[in-house]
Amino acid sequence: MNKQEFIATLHHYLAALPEEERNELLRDYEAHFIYGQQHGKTEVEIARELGDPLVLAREIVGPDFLPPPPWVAPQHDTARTIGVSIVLFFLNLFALPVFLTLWAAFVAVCASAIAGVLSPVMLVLEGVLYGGYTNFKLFISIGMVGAGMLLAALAQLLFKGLLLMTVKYFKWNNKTWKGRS
Amino acid sequence: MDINTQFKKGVLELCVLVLIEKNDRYGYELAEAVSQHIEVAEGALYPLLRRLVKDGYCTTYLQESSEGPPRKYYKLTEQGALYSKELIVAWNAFVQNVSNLIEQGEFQSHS
Repeated sequence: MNKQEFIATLHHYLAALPEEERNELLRDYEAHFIYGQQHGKTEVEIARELGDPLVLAREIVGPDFLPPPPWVAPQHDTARTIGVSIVLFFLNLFALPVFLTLWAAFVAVCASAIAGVLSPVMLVLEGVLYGGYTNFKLFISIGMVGAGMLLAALAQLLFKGLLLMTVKYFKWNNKTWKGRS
Repeated sequence: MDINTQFKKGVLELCVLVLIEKNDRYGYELAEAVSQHIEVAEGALYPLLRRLVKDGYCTTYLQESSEGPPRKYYKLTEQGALYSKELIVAWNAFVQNVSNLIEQGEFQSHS
């Protein structure tokens, strides 16, 4: 039995308690798990040391304890898995290209930023190789450096946002596919 | 449930009171301290502590911890200290009486 199973089982058997009291107790047990893990114990070990949730619940509720129907861990629901897989497939058929496009846009912004910042180098190269230097080109190049720096800042923001979005989306996908348990 | 478990449950309250009397402790710490001496279902501590608070033998306060959630410390009240003393006296007398009884029983069965 891991932490989640222990808490869920206890929660189930403590149905008779006032909600506030039950939540407070469950918080105590959750904190116990966290401290146990910090002391290098596994969830399974901690749950074993805590004891059987049914026995605990019986002691907590007292003589009025009527065991609710035994708590069963949610079973693998094949029909649900198939249904969710199909829905996720079509959703991703649409969503993946959107993500790809957004990332491509990000790459484009990065490329523009680099090109802008490096434009003086190009100017120098052009001057050395072909001549034809003009003040006008220099001013344009300085302007391009500024634009490139702005774009770089924008790229940084974009990167953070996109990364967060992508990670969240894939986590959500994973969670949805596996189901709540 | 073996007989030993029943014994332990009965004295858990006494053990907890004695431990808190020495210094304030939080739940996990108490569980560890009790387990060092007697093997007991640690989960039974939390309902017991709730009852001690409800009966006015303990108070709680929260202390932030650098690691993990804030710790709920239990502190013995004056009333709790009195109760703890009573329990210890009663426990010692009880153990003594039971030991006497066992010894007498043995004596009689051998004679």
